[in-house]
Amino acid sequence: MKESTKMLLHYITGFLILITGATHLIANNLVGFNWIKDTLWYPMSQGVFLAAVLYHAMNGLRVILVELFPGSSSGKIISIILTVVGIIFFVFGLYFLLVIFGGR
Amino acid sequence: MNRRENKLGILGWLKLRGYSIEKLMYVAQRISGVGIIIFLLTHILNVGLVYAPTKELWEPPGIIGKAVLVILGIIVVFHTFNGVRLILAEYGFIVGKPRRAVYPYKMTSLSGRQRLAVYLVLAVFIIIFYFWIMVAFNLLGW
Amino acid sequence: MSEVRKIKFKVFRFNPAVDALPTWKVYEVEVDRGMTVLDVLLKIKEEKDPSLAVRYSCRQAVCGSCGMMINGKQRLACFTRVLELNSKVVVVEPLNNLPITRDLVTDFSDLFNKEKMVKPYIIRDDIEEMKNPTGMYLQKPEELLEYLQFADCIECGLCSSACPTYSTDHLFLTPMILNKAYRFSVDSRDKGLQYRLPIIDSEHGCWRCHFAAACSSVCPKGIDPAKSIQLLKKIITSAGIFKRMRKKEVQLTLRPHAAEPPT
Repeated sequence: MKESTKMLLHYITGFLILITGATHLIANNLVGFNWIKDTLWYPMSQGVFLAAVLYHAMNGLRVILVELFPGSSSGKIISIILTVVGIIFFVFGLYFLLVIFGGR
Repeated sequence: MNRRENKLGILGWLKLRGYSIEKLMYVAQRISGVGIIIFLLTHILNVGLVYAPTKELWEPPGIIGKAVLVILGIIVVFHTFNGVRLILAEYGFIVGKPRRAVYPYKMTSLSGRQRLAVYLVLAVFIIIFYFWIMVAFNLLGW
Repeated sequence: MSEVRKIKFKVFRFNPAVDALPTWKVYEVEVDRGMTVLDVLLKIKEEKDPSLAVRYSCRQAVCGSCGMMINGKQRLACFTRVLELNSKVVVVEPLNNLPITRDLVTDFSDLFNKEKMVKPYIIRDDIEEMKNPTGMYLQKPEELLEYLQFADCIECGLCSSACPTYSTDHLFLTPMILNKAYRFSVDSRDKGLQYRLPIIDSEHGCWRCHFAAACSSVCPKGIDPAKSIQLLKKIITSAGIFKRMRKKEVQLTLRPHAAEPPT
Protein backbone atom coordinates (compact mmCIF):
# COMPACT_ATOMS: atom_id res chain seq x y z
CA MET A 1 0.00 0.00 0.00
CA LYS A 2 1.34 3.39 -0.89
CA GLU A 3 2.09 5.79 1.92
CA SER A 4 -0.51 8.23 0.60
CA THR A 5 -3.23 5.56 0.78
CA LYS A 6 -2.24 4.67 4.33
CA MET A 7 -2.51 8.32 5.36
CA LEU A 8 -5.80 8.83 3.49
CA LEU A 9 -7.20 5.89 5.45
CA HIS A 10 -5.77 7.43 8.61
CA TYR A 11 -7.79 10.58 8.00
CA ILE A 12 -10.93 8.71 6.92
CA THR A 13 -10.85 6.51 10.03
CA GLY A 14 -10.23 9.63 12.11
CA PHE A 15 -13.45 11.09 10.80
CA LEU A 16 -15.32 7.79 11.33
CA ILE A 17 -14.07 7.72 14.91
CA LEU A 18 -15.48 11.17 15.45
CA ILE A 19 -18.95 9.98 14.49
CA THR A 20 -19.05 6.46 15.91
CA GLY A 21 -17.06 7.44 18.99
CA ALA A 22 -19.45 10.24 19.82
CA THR A 23 -22.30 7.74 19.54
CA HIS A 24 -20.40 5.38 21.85
CA LEU A 25 -19.84 8.05 24.50
CA ILE A 26 -23.34 9.48 24.36
CA ALA A 27 -25.12 6.10 24.39
CA ASN A 28 -23.06 4.83 27.31
CA ASN A 29 -22.81 7.88 29.55
CA LEU A 30 -25.91 10.03 29.10
CA VAL A 31 -28.83 8.28 30.78
CA GLY A 32 -31.36 10.02 28.57
CA PHE A 33 -29.75 8.46 25.47
CA ASN A 34 -29.31 4.92 26.75
CA TRP A 35 -32.01 3.77 24.33
CA ILE A 36 -29.47 4.06 21.50
CA LYS A 37 -27.81 0.90 22.76
CA ASP A 38 -30.96 -1.07 21.99
CA THR A 39 -31.29 -0.01 18.35
CA LEU A 40 -30.43 -2.32 15.48
CA TRP A 41 -27.57 -0.39 13.94
CA TYR A 42 -25.71 0.35 17.20
CA PRO A 43 -23.72 -2.93 17.26
CA MET A 44 -22.75 -2.42 13.62
CA SER A 45 -21.60 1.13 14.31
CA GLN A 46 -19.55 -0.18 17.21
CA GLY A 47 -17.93 -2.74 14.92
CA VAL A 48 -16.97 0.09 12.58
CA PHE A 49 -15.74 2.08 15.59
CA LEU A 50 -13.53 -0.81 16.71
CA ALA A 51 -11.98 -1.31 13.28
CA ALA A 52 -11.49 2.41 12.67
CA VAL A 53 -9.96 3.18 16.04
CA LEU A 54 -7.58 0.22 15.87
CA TYR A 55 -6.38 1.16 12.36
CA HIS A 56 -5.96 4.81 13.33
CA ALA A 57 -4.12 3.96 16.54
CA MET A 58 -1.79 1.38 15.00
CA ASN A 59 -0.99 3.57 12.00
CA GLY A 60 -0.39 6.53 14.30
CA LEU A 61 2.01 4.47 16.41
CA ARG A 62 3.71 3.21 13.26
CA VAL A 63 4.29 6.81 12.08
CA ILE A 64 5.77 7.84 15.43
CA LEU A 65 8.01 4.77 15.66
CA VAL A 66 9.21 5.02 12.06
CA GLU A 67 10.26 8.61 12.75
CA LEU A 68 12.03 7.74 15.99
CA PHE A 69 13.79 4.66 14.61
CA PRO A 70 14.39 5.26 10.91
CA GLY A 71 16.00 2.57 8.77
CA SER A 72 15.04 0.46 5.76
CA SER A 73 14.45 -2.72 7.78
CA SER A 74 12.98 -1.13 10.91
CA GLY A 75 10.02 0.23 8.94
CA LYS A 76 8.98 -3.27 7.86
CA ILE A 77 9.45 -4.78 11.31
CA ILE A 78 7.43 -2.04 12.98
CA SER A 79 4.60 -2.40 10.44
CA ILE A 80 4.39 -6.16 10.89
CA ILE A 81 4.39 -6.04 14.69
CA LEU A 82 1.74 -3.32 14.81
CA THR A 83 -0.47 -5.06 12.24
CA VAL A 84 -0.38 -8.23 14.32
CA VAL A 85 -1.20 -6.33 17.52
CA GLY A 86 -4.05 -4.55 15.75
CA ILE A 87 -5.53 -7.76 14.40
CA ILE A 88 -5.32 -9.46 17.79
CA PHE A 89 -7.16 -6.64 19.50
CA PHE A 90 -9.72 -6.48 16.71
CA VAL A 91 -10.51 -10.16 16.94
CA PHE A 92 -10.77 -9.92 20.68
CA GLY A 93 -13.00 -6.85 20.55
CA LEU A 94 -15.19 -8.35 17.83
CA TYR A 95 -15.68 -11.49 19.88
CA PHE A 96 -16.74 -9.40 22.84
CA LEU A 97 -19.15 -7.39 20.67
CA LEU A 98 -20.73 -10.58 19.35
CA VAL A 99 -21.16 -11.94 22.86
CA ILE A 100 -22.70 -8.80 24.24
CA PHE A 101 -24.94 -8.02 21.27
CA GLY A 102 -25.31 -11.57 20.01
CA GLY A 103 -28.94 -11.75 21.02
CA ARG A 104 -29.95 -9.55 18.10
CA MET B 1 24.82 10.78 20.72
CA ASN B 2 27.63 11.62 18.38
CA ARG B 3 28.36 15.26 19.00
CA ARG B 4 29.47 15.75 15.43
CA GLU B 5 26.14 14.44 14.16
CA ASN B 6 24.38 17.19 16.08
CA LYS B 7 20.88 15.71 15.99
CA LEU B 8 18.56 17.00 18.69
CA GLY B 9 16.58 13.78 18.66
CA ILE B 10 13.32 13.70 20.52
CA LEU B 11 14.38 16.81 22.48
CA GLY B 12 13.85 18.67 19.22
CA TRP B 13 10.12 18.23 19.78
CA LEU B 14 10.41 20.21 23.01
CA LYS B 15 12.01 23.24 21.38
CA LEU B 16 9.01 25.52 21.29
CA ARG B 17 10.35 28.98 22.10
CA GLY B 18 10.38 31.26 19.06
CA TYR B 19 8.23 29.02 16.88
CA SER B 20 4.52 29.26 16.07
CA ILE B 21 1.64 27.79 18.07
CA GLU B 22 1.24 25.08 15.43
CA LYS B 23 4.42 23.40 16.71
CA LEU B 24 2.94 23.21 20.20
CA MET B 25 -0.27 21.73 18.79
CA TYR B 26 1.81 19.12 16.91
CA VAL B 27 3.57 17.99 20.10
CA ALA B 28 0.27 17.93 22.01
CA GLN B 29 -1.35 15.88 19.24
CA ARG B 30 1.44 13.27 19.45
CA ILE B 31 1.42 13.03 23.23
CA SER B 32 -2.38 12.86 23.44
CA GLY B 33 -2.38 10.21 20.71
CA VAL B 34 -0.02 7.96 22.65
CA GLY B 35 -2.04 8.54 25.84
CA ILE B 36 -5.25 7.55 24.07
CA ILE B 37 -3.62 4.37 22.75
CA ILE B 38 -2.66 3.36 26.29
CA PHE B 39 -6.23 3.95 27.47
CA LEU B 40 -7.70 2.24 24.39
CA LEU B 41 -5.82 -1.02 24.75
CA THR B 42 -6.46 -1.30 28.49
CA HIS B 43 -10.12 -0.35 27.94
CA ILE B 44 -10.72 -3.07 25.33
CA LEU B 45 -9.15 -5.69 27.58
CA ASN B 46 -10.90 -4.36 30.68
CA VAL B 47 -14.42 -4.25 29.29
CA GLY B 48 -13.98 -7.38 27.23
CA LEU B 49 -12.69 -9.67 29.95
CA VAL B 50 -15.96 -9.39 31.86
CA TYR B 51 -18.89 -9.79 29.56
CA ALA B 52 -21.48 -7.61 31.27
CA PRO B 53 -20.10 -4.08 31.25
CA THR B 54 -20.97 -1.83 34.14
CA LYS B 55 -19.64 1.59 34.88
CA GLU B 56 -17.14 0.30 37.44
CA LEU B 57 -15.23 -1.42 34.65
CA TRP B 58 -13.98 1.56 32.76
CA GLU B 59 -13.88 3.85 35.72
CA PRO B 60 -11.72 2.66 38.61
CA PRO B 61 -13.34 3.61 41.88
CA GLY B 62 -12.69 6.75 43.86
CA ILE B 63 -10.41 9.63 43.17
CA ILE B 64 -8.24 7.74 40.69
CA GLY B 65 -11.26 7.08 38.54
CA LYS B 66 -12.18 10.72 38.46
CA ALA B 67 -8.60 11.75 37.69
CA VAL B 68 -8.45 9.27 34.81
CA LEU B 69 -11.70 10.67 33.44
CA VAL B 70 -10.43 14.24 33.58
CA ILE B 71 -7.13 13.46 31.88
CA LEU B 72 -8.90 11.30 29.31
CA GLY B 73 -11.27 14.18 28.61
CA ILE B 74 -8.43 16.59 27.97
CA ILE B 75 -6.53 14.30 25.59
CA VAL B 76 -9.51 12.90 23.70
CA VAL B 77 -11.26 16.22 23.10
CA PHE B 78 -8.03 17.97 22.08
CA HIS B 79 -6.85 15.18 19.79
CA THR B 80 -10.24 14.96 18.06
CA PHE B 81 -10.71 18.61 17.21
CA ASN B 82 -7.06 19.30 16.42
CA GLY B 83 -7.27 16.23 14.17
CA VAL B 84 -10.12 17.79 12.23
CA ARG B 85 -8.01 20.94 11.74
CA LEU B 86 -5.07 18.80 10.59
CA ILE B 87 -7.17 16.94 8.01
CA LEU B 88 -8.24 20.29 6.54
CA ALA B 89 -4.69 21.66 6.59
CA GLU B 90 -2.84 18.58 5.34
CA TYR B 91 -4.85 18.40 2.14
CA GLY B 92 -4.13 22.05 1.51
CA PHE B 93 -7.64 23.41 2.01
CA ILE B 94 -6.96 26.14 4.57
CA VAL B 95 -3.26 26.90 4.08
CA GLY B 96 -3.85 29.76 1.66
CA LYS B 97 -2.90 30.39 -1.95
CA PRO B 98 0.65 30.80 -3.22
CA ARG B 99 1.49 34.49 -3.43
CA ARG B 100 4.54 36.50 -4.43
CA ALA B 101 7.16 36.56 -1.67
CA VAL B 102 7.49 40.31 -1.12
CA TYR B 103 8.99 41.75 2.07
CA PRO B 104 7.51 41.94 4.75
CA TYR B 105 6.67 38.31 4.15
CA LYS B 106 3.29 36.92 5.16
CA MET B 107 3.18 33.18 5.71
CA THR B 108 -0.39 32.31 4.75
CA SER B 109 -0.10 28.88 6.36
CA LEU B 110 0.49 30.61 9.71
CA SER B 111 -2.23 33.23 9.33
CA GLY B 112 -5.65 33.62 7.78
CA ARG B 113 -7.96 30.63 7.73
CA GLN B 114 -5.50 28.21 9.31
CA ARG B 115 -4.80 30.42 12.34
CA LEU B 116 -8.54 30.96 12.70
CA ALA B 117 -8.91 27.17 12.72
CA VAL B 118 -6.38 27.00 15.58
CA TYR B 119 -8.41 29.43 17.65
CA LEU B 120 -11.63 27.59 16.79
CA VAL B 121 -10.06 24.31 17.95
CA LEU B 122 -9.14 25.88 21.29
CA ALA B 123 -12.61 27.40 21.71
CA VAL B 124 -14.43 24.18 20.81
CA PHE B 125 -12.07 22.30 23.13
CA ILE B 126 -13.12 24.46 26.07
CA ILE B 127 -16.82 24.06 25.30
CA ILE B 128 -16.81 20.29 24.77
CA PHE B 129 -14.44 19.69 27.69
CA TYR B 130 -16.86 21.60 29.91
CA PHE B 131 -19.64 19.20 28.93
CA TRP B 132 -17.31 16.24 29.45
CA ILE B 133 -16.58 17.33 33.02
CA MET B 134 -20.24 17.95 33.72
CA VAL B 135 -21.13 14.44 32.62
CA ALA B 136 -18.14 12.87 34.38
CA PHE B 137 -19.14 14.35 37.72
CA ASN B 138 -22.84 13.62 37.18
CA LEU B 139 -23.77 17.29 37.17
CA LEU B 140 -25.85 17.02 34.01
CA GLY B 141 -29.36 15.62 34.21
CA TRP B 142 -29.27 14.13 30.72
CA MET C 1 24.29 60.21 19.42
CA SER C 2 25.43 56.78 18.35
CA GLU C 3 23.97 53.79 20.07
CA VAL C 4 27.12 51.85 20.86
CA ARG C 5 26.74 49.04 23.36
CA LYS C 6 29.00 46.32 24.68
CA ILE C 7 27.39 42.97 23.99
CA LYS C 8 28.74 39.57 25.07
CA PHE C 9 28.85 36.93 22.35
CA LYS C 10 28.85 33.35 23.53
CA VAL C 11 30.15 31.42 20.52
CA PHE C 12 30.18 27.64 20.10
CA ARG C 13 33.64 26.30 19.33
CA PHE C 14 34.23 22.72 18.26
CA ASN C 15 36.79 21.10 16.01
CA PRO C 16 35.76 17.44 15.62
CA ALA C 17 39.21 16.53 14.27
CA VAL C 18 40.91 17.73 17.44
CA ASP C 19 38.48 18.29 20.30
CA ALA C 20 36.56 15.64 22.18
CA LEU C 21 33.93 18.04 23.48
CA PRO C 22 32.70 21.44 22.32
CA THR C 23 33.51 24.61 24.26
CA TRP C 24 32.02 28.08 24.49
CA LYS C 25 34.14 31.19 24.04
CA VAL C 26 32.85 34.56 25.18
CA TYR C 27 33.82 37.69 23.28
CA GLU C 28 32.80 41.16 24.34
CA VAL C 29 32.25 43.38 21.31
CA GLU C 30 31.17 46.99 20.92
CA VAL C 31 28.13 46.92 18.72
CA ASP C 32 26.75 49.88 16.83
CA ARG C 33 23.22 50.31 15.53
CA GLY C 34 22.72 48.35 12.31
CA MET C 35 25.56 45.90 12.89
CA THR C 36 24.57 42.38 12.00
CA VAL C 37 25.69 39.22 13.76
CA LEU C 38 27.82 38.44 10.71
CA ASP C 39 29.57 41.83 11.04
CA VAL C 40 30.35 40.99 14.66
CA LEU C 41 31.64 37.49 13.83
CA LEU C 42 33.94 38.90 11.17
CA LYS C 43 35.10 41.57 13.58
CA ILE C 44 35.91 38.82 16.09
CA LYS C 45 37.84 36.99 13.38
CA GLU C 46 39.75 40.16 12.52
CA GLU C 47 40.59 41.47 15.97
CA LYS C 48 40.30 38.75 18.55
CA ASP C 49 40.30 35.19 17.27
CA PRO C 50 41.17 34.34 13.65
CA SER C 51 40.54 30.65 14.24
CA LEU C 52 36.74 31.04 14.27
CA ALA C 53 35.19 29.20 11.32
CA VAL C 54 32.22 30.95 9.73
CA ARG C 55 30.50 30.34 6.41
CA TYR C 56 29.33 33.48 4.63
CA SER C 57 29.24 34.98 1.17
CA CYS C 58 26.84 37.67 0.00
CA ARG C 59 26.12 39.29 3.41
CA GLN C 60 22.77 40.41 2.04
CA ALA C 61 20.47 37.37 2.59
CA VAL C 62 20.47 36.00 -0.96
CA CYS C 63 23.11 33.24 -0.90
CA GLY C 64 21.90 31.23 2.09
CA SER C 65 25.37 30.50 3.47
CA CYS C 66 25.33 32.04 6.96
CA GLY C 67 22.51 30.14 8.65
CA MET C 68 23.09 29.55 12.37
CA MET C 69 21.30 29.43 15.73
CA ILE C 70 21.21 32.91 17.23
CA ASN C 71 19.70 33.08 20.69
CA GLY C 72 18.06 29.71 20.22
CA LYS C 73 16.36 30.31 16.87
CA GLN C 74 17.47 29.59 13.31
CA ARG C 75 18.42 32.86 11.62
CA LEU C 76 20.69 34.19 8.87
CA ALA C 77 23.65 35.91 10.53
CA CYS C 78 23.76 38.64 7.88
CA PHE C 79 20.06 39.35 8.26
CA THR C 80 19.96 39.65 12.06
CA ARG C 81 20.75 43.00 13.66
CA VAL C 82 22.38 42.54 17.06
CA LEU C 83 20.66 45.43 18.82
CA GLU C 84 17.25 44.24 17.58
CA LEU C 85 17.77 41.02 19.54
CA ASN C 86 17.44 43.17 22.68
CA SER C 87 19.73 41.03 24.75
CA LYS C 88 22.99 41.59 26.66
CA VAL C 89 24.25 38.12 25.76
CA VAL C 90 23.95 36.67 22.28
CA VAL C 91 24.42 32.90 21.99
CA VAL C 92 25.68 31.77 18.58
CA GLU C 93 25.68 28.08 17.68
CA PRO C 94 25.75 26.06 14.46
CA LEU C 95 22.43 24.96 12.97
CA ASN C 96 20.61 22.19 14.83
CA ASN C 97 20.19 18.74 13.32
CA LEU C 98 22.99 19.16 10.75
CA PRO C 99 26.42 17.58 11.21
CA ILE C 100 29.02 20.06 12.45
CA THR C 101 32.08 20.49 10.25
CA ARG C 102 33.74 22.99 12.52
CA ASP C 103 32.64 25.77 14.89
CA LEU C 104 29.66 27.41 13.18
CA VAL C 105 29.93 25.55 9.85
CA THR C 106 27.54 22.66 9.20
CA ASP C 107 27.55 19.91 6.61
CA PHE C 108 24.84 20.23 3.93
CA SER C 109 25.75 17.12 1.92
CA ASP C 110 22.77 15.12 3.22
CA LEU C 111 20.40 17.83 1.99
CA PHE C 112 22.09 18.08 -1.40
CA ASN C 113 22.01 14.29 -1.89
CA LYS C 114 18.29 14.29 -1.21
CA GLU C 115 17.85 17.15 -3.63
CA LYS C 116 19.38 15.07 -6.42
CA MET C 117 17.04 12.18 -5.61
CA VAL C 118 13.99 14.35 -6.13
CA LYS C 119 14.94 15.42 -9.70
CA PRO C 120 14.87 19.21 -9.30
CA TYR C 121 14.55 20.08 -12.99
CA ILE C 122 11.80 20.32 -15.60
CA ILE C 123 11.04 16.90 -17.11
CA ARG C 124 9.35 16.84 -20.49
CA ASP C 125 8.74 14.35 -23.28
CA ASP C 126 8.96 16.46 -26.45
CA ILE C 127 12.60 15.58 -27.10
CA GLU C 128 12.67 16.93 -30.64
CA GLU C 129 11.50 20.34 -29.52
CA MET C 130 13.98 20.40 -26.67
CA LYS C 131 16.90 19.49 -28.93
CA ASN C 132 15.96 21.89 -31.72
CA PRO C 133 13.83 24.57 -30.07
CA THR C 134 11.47 26.48 -32.33
CA GLY C 135 10.05 28.78 -29.65
CA MET C 136 9.47 29.40 -25.95
CA TYR C 137 7.34 27.35 -23.58
CA LEU C 138 4.55 29.77 -22.77
CA GLN C 139 3.14 30.18 -19.29
CA LYS C 140 0.18 32.23 -18.16
CA PRO C 141 0.59 34.60 -15.18
CA GLU C 142 -1.73 32.40 -13.06
CA GLU C 143 0.42 29.36 -13.84
CA LEU C 144 3.52 31.31 -12.85
CA LEU C 145 2.01 32.39 -9.55
CA GLU C 146 1.37 28.76 -8.60
CA TYR C 147 5.05 28.11 -8.05
CA LEU C 148 6.81 31.48 -8.02
CA GLN C 149 6.79 31.84 -4.23
CA PHE C 150 8.45 28.46 -3.82
CA ALA C 151 11.09 29.17 -6.47
CA ASP C 152 12.58 31.99 -4.37
CA CYS C 153 14.26 29.48 -2.04
CA ILE C 154 17.91 30.31 -1.30
CA GLU C 155 18.54 26.85 0.21
CA CYS C 156 19.82 28.21 3.49
CA GLY C 157 18.66 25.11 5.39
CA LEU C 158 17.01 26.97 8.27
CA CYS C 159 13.71 25.17 7.63
CA SER C 160 15.27 21.72 7.74
CA SER C 161 17.12 22.58 10.93
CA ALA C 162 13.88 23.71 12.59
CA CYS C 163 11.80 20.71 11.48
CA PRO C 164 10.89 18.46 14.46
CA THR C 165 10.66 15.43 12.17
CA TYR C 166 14.20 15.93 10.86
CA SER C 167 15.50 16.08 14.43
CA THR C 168 14.68 12.40 14.94
CA ASP C 169 14.45 11.02 11.40
CA HIS C 170 17.63 11.47 9.36
CA LEU C 171 15.97 9.87 6.30
CA PHE C 172 13.23 12.50 6.11
CA LEU C 173 13.16 14.52 2.90
CA THR C 174 13.45 17.90 4.52
CA PRO C 175 11.11 20.87 3.98
CA MET C 176 13.73 22.45 1.71
CA ILE C 177 13.70 19.45 -0.65
CA LEU C 178 9.95 18.86 -0.55
CA ASN C 179 9.45 22.52 -1.41
CA LYS C 180 11.70 22.06 -4.41
CA ALA C 181 9.81 18.92 -5.47
CA TYR C 182 6.53 20.81 -5.35
CA ARG C 183 7.97 23.79 -7.23
CA PHE C 184 8.84 21.56 -10.14
CA SER C 185 5.85 19.24 -9.98
CA VAL C 186 3.28 22.03 -10.13
CA ASP C 187 5.12 23.98 -12.83
CA SER C 188 2.88 23.86 -15.90
CA ARG C 189 5.88 23.13 -18.11
CA ASP C 190 6.77 19.98 -16.16
CA LYS C 191 5.40 16.50 -16.84
CA GLY C 192 7.56 14.60 -14.41
CA LEU C 193 5.55 14.20 -11.18
CA GLN C 194 5.24 10.44 -11.75
CA TYR C 195 9.05 10.14 -11.61
CA ARG C 196 9.28 12.01 -8.35
CA LEU C 197 6.44 10.04 -6.76
CA PRO C 198 8.42 7.00 -5.58
CA ILE C 199 10.65 9.20 -3.44
CA ILE C 200 8.02 11.71 -2.30
CA ASP C 201 5.31 9.14 -1.56
CA SER C 202 7.65 6.96 0.47
CA GLU C 203 7.90 6.11 4.15
CA HIS C 204 10.14 9.14 4.79
CA GLY C 205 8.65 11.44 2.19
CA CYS C 206 6.13 14.22 2.46
CA TRP C 207 3.78 12.22 4.72
CA ARG C 208 6.21 12.45 7.64
CA CYS C 209 5.33 16.14 7.78
CA HIS C 210 2.65 16.82 10.39
CA PHE C 211 2.27 20.54 9.90
CA ALA C 212 4.23 21.74 12.91
CA ALA C 213 5.07 24.70 10.61
CA ALA C 214 8.39 25.39 12.32
CA CYS C 215 9.89 25.64 8.84
CA SER C 216 7.62 28.51 7.83
CA SER C 217 8.19 30.36 11.08
CA VAL C 218 11.98 30.53 10.46
CA CYS C 219 12.13 30.97 6.67
CA PRO C 220 13.97 34.25 5.95
CA LYS C 221 12.67 34.63 2.39
CA GLY C 222 8.92 34.15 2.85
CA ILE C 223 8.80 30.80 1.03
CA ASP C 224 6.27 29.16 3.38
CA PRO C 225 7.53 25.57 2.91
CA ALA C 226 4.77 24.28 5.21
CA LYS C 227 2.25 25.47 2.65
CA SER C 228 4.06 23.90 -0.30
CA ILE C 229 4.31 20.54 1.49
CA GLN C 230 0.58 20.46 2.26
CA LEU C 231 -0.19 21.42 -1.35
CA LEU C 232 2.17 18.64 -2.45
CA LYS C 233 0.19 16.16 -0.38
CA LYS C 234 -2.93 17.38 -2.13
CA ILE C 235 -1.60 16.71 -5.61
CA ILE C 236 -0.19 13.29 -4.88
CA THR C 237 -3.22 11.67 -3.29
CA SER C 238 -5.32 9.62 -5.67
CA ALA C 239 -7.28 12.33 -7.42
CA GLY C 240 -4.12 14.29 -8.12
CA ILE C 241 -2.45 11.25 -9.55
CA PHE C 242 -5.14 10.56 -12.14
CA LYS C 243 -5.00 14.13 -13.36
CA ARG C 244 -1.23 14.36 -13.51
CA MET C 245 -0.10 10.94 -14.61
CA ARG C 246 -0.24 11.05 -18.36
CA LYS C 247 0.86 7.77 -19.88
CA LYS C 248 3.52 9.19 -22.13
CA GLU C 249 6.97 7.84 -22.68
CA VAL C 250 9.44 10.16 -21.05
CA GLN C 251 13.15 9.39 -20.93
CA LEU C 252 14.44 9.44 -17.40
CA THR C 253 17.71 11.14 -18.19
CA LEU C 254 15.87 14.04 -19.66
CA ARG C 255 17.59 17.38 -19.39
CA PRO C 256 17.23 20.03 -22.06
CA HIS C 257 20.30 19.60 -24.21
CA ALA C 258 22.40 22.67 -24.75
CA ALA C 259 21.95 23.98 -28.27
CA GLU C 260 24.68 22.75 -30.61
CA PRO C 261 27.08 25.56 -31.44
CA PRO C 262 26.64 26.70 -35.05
CA THR C 263 29.26 25.23 -37.34
